[in-house]
Amino acid sequence: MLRINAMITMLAGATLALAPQPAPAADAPGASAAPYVFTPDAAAQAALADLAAGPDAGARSTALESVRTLDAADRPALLRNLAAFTRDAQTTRGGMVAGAVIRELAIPADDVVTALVPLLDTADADLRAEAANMLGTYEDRSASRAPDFSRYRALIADADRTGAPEPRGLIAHMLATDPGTALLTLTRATRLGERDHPRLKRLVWAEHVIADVIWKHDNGFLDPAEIEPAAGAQLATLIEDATWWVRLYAAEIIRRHPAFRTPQNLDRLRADADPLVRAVAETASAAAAAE
Amino acid sequence: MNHHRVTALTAVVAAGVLLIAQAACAGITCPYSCGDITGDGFVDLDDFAAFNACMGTAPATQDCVCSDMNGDGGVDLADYALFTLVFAGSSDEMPPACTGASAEPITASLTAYRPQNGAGYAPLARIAVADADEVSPTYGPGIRINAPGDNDPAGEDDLIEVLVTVDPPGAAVALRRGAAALRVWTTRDKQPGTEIAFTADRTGAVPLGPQDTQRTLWVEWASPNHGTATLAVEPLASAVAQDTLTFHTFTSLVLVLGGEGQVPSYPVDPNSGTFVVGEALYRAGYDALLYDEDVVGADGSGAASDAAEDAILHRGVTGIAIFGYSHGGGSTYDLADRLDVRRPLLGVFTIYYTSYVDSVSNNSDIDVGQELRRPPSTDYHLNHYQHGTLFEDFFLDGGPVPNSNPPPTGLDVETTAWGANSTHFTVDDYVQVRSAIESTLGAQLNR
Repeated sequence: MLRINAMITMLAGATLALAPQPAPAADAPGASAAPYVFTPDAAAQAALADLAAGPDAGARSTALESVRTLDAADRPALLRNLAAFTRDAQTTRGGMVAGAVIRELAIPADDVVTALVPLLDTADADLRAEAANMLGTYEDRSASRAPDFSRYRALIADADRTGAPEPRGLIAHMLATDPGTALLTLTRATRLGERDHPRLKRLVWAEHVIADVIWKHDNGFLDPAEIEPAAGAQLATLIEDATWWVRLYAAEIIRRHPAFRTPQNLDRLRADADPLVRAVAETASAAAAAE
Repeated sequence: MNHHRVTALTAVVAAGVLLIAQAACAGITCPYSCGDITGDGFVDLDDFAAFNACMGTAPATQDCVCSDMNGDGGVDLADYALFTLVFAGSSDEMPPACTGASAEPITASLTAYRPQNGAGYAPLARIAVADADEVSPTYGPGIRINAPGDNDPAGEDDLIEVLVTVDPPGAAVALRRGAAALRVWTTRDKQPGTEIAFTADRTGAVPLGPQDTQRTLWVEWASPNHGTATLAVEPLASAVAQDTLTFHTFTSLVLVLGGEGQVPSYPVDPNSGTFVVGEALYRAGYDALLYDEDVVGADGSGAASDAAEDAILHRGVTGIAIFGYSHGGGSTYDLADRLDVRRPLLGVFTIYYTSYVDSVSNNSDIDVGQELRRPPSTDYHLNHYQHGTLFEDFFLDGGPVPNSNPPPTGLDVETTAWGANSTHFTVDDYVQVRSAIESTLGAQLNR
């Protein structure tokens, strides 16, 4: 059911390994990071297949014990194997094995998230999409409230604190899921308020002005084809921002909200130094062409 | 030819006063074959007598209208010339100038189909409205309001297909409508120049080739106001309807969501119980849309939401029903929540009906959590569930939902004789479950 956003994540990450890498933006250390590589384990895949379609309860029980052993040995590897198994599942039962195993083994949400997030940086688009889909289990998405990115915030903050490469796939996934909530979460996770408080205020204000227009669209107070000039001006500043994920936010806004699409915005973002920004801008441009 | 009859005819006409009629009689038409003025199926001396009585007059009675065989507004020698050609079967050919009905009786009928979806009828099929239901304002042909602003992402799909069938081939028939809201086109997407014009709510001859016995037309409800209206077919030369449809505008929309891995198709998979119900409702005159639950995001957005919003905003739909199985149940909650949140934009509508069958929360494809929340703002909620286990159905199950039917929290089918052995993979297929959805929805939601 989360295929739509999973596809967005897939598109956004499509150029990770394939496209020639342009010069990264000044503060985008992860832009040229090598994709994460994961190779499914044959024994694990066989055990999961037996659990999904074993001929009788005895066979499935044996398979479950094998899965328990795998969990004890390397839980993250088991979880990534579950993602790969789900990606390839051809039956409803096969597609539900991951959920059943996580429940039966009482695997905590933090463990699942931590294990799956690296898959958002693989070169395998289907596996990225599957990981994004599975992560949706823990995001509490709803029409009534913002998604819960608290687990992601912790991961990004850890990377920021330790100097590890940014989890670019995760950041792109968050922005594809809810650009506004993602942008605000990223400013907090990277401690922008401590490093550059005036900039934090500029970003927060820009997000607010843009979100206000979206709110007016969503609630019938502004024609969906129109935006307020102040929001357009704020978006234009974000498109020129030095941080890649701020520009990616801008690209997601114009992808999701046609009223923000102008030829200038599209042209600028399609020529962005960051491949993720360019990919989303291309998607927005294609949508504009189809309208 | 009967010589005696011709002799008598000639004598009477010769004695007649030849006057030019001053005016045709408005509002009266001739329902009979050319020359059969008395309508007894024969063209004989009785008809001649009737003709003679009208000779030289303006046609003010049905007999005289039937005597005005060329339709020029007067009964005169030109009509007499036509009459002699058909008198007593003197010719097998209908006189070309005779604008009365064909000497051969015309039969015509209309067949209406259930509403389209996108580029055609998929995932269902082209299903005809039963003859017995054609004039029913509930079971009959429903039609979507097609006012400006309607969003059809896959192209125009709000016109109703109607098949006109005639006998003999090429027979001249006209359509008569009961309200100006009905417009008729020869193309499903209203190509320019393909509208069939009405004058005083009647068309000219429906375009049929000389050998054609059928013609597909597309009927549009082009008014923003709800209502019912008839569409009848009748011989061009007659005002006697041969067949009539009664269209009613849809005031509701039914959204049907399958379980994980269930994709709507036709014929409907009997193991996809919710789709079986959806097809039954469609056949029974509801505007029912069947979806793979994957089209509903965890925030309720997606194709199903778009369809509901378009119906509410642009087609005057004020009633919504949503039901789903497994993850489709979880998506039922998400969709109801989204529509409820978007009321400031959408205006006034009511979610009259929702139903879960073994509803599973749908935050992702691997979500195995029970969906135990009542869909927001629904008037009536029906709930069926069973109990999942690891090896039987991977823990997949629904559970009791507050304020549901049967009261107080729905039906645990494992407590029934028929459902005692149910699993998640079979619970949606019980006829008892399907019938309960169909009957309770029917009681809650107008078409």
